[in-house]
Amino acid sequence: MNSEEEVRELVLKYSDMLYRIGIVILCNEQDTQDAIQDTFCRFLEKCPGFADAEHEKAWLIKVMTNICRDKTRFRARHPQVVLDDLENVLAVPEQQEILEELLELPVRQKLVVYLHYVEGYQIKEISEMLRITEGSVKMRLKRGKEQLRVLLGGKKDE
Amino acid sequence: MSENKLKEAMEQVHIAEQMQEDIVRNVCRQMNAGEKRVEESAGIFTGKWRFAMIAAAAALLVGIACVPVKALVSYYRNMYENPNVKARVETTMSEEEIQALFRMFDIQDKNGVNADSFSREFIGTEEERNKALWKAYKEGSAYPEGSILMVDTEEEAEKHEFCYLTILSKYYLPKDRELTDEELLQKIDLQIKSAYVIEKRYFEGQGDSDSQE
Repeated sequence: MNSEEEVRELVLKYSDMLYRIGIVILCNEQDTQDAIQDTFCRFLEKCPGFADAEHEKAWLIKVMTNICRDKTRFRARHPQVVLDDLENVLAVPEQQEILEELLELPVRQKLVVYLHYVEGYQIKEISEMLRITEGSVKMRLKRGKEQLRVLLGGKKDE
Repeated sequence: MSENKLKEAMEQVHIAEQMQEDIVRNVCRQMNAGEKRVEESAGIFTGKWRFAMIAAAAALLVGIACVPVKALVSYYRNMYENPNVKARVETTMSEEEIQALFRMFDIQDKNGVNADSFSREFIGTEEERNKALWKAYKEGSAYPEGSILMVDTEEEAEKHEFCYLTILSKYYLPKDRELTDEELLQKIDLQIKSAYVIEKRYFEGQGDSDSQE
């Protein structure tokens, strides 16, 4: 049995990252909290052994995205994007705008965009993590980025 | 848009300390209690009719006329994650067929359909053969030659030995004989294709497929 301190250490280490993934996919804090809890419970139940911290992180991302996928799969429609709580943490209006537009992308695009541009994963790594082809990853990145530009009024890279 | 700006914006998003504490407390409690967290989470069990097609599969597996959809979560996952199954539906379903299933699900949703139902229970060797054919389908060694007849009214359904009533997600099975292997495979095929469409609609999002990309 894991002690509370061990659980706390795990939560402090990874909950920020999992929270962002949950918000990106689910656009809802309560569902995100549920998904994070499920992810940690699955981790503690399975006690998977990892060669290094990167593998551990990738495993958690994969499980978290699967759990979020299950939650979205069984919804009647994609949830409304609720950013009221996030407005308080994003002081710069432009950041708020960027985040809003990211959350508006289809799940398949925004997840890949997030993993690549925010978490820094390479296309091959995302392909393995999400079990899709590298071509699909590239295409989702391309379309996601294009759509962000459109949504943001055609702003180009700086 | 600059990728750096996206990264910077996301890095401003942090989990609240209170939520972290709640997670620690809840995870500890659940681990201690051995609760079945995932299966009981609201996001899964409020799925209702979306499990309908898969409910049909398990219903026939256990030989009952109707099953609550929530009992079949793991069955659904295991089935859909099978690479043979996924390859089969992705290579054989046309866009028209997918759109037709979308429309059918909308109607079922409006009708409050929560699970598939059947006109009778399994008889004779049906249950055993159904299990074997599910296995064969998943292994990629058995597929139907045709498709199940789909009808839109109960009156019409009563006229046929074997068909699927779209508005109620109900399978009409022959009254005085067993299902043939081909009929069982047609039923399995529809269930699996439905699961694929549900996946496509509710996760991959708004008909945005790679082929379109």
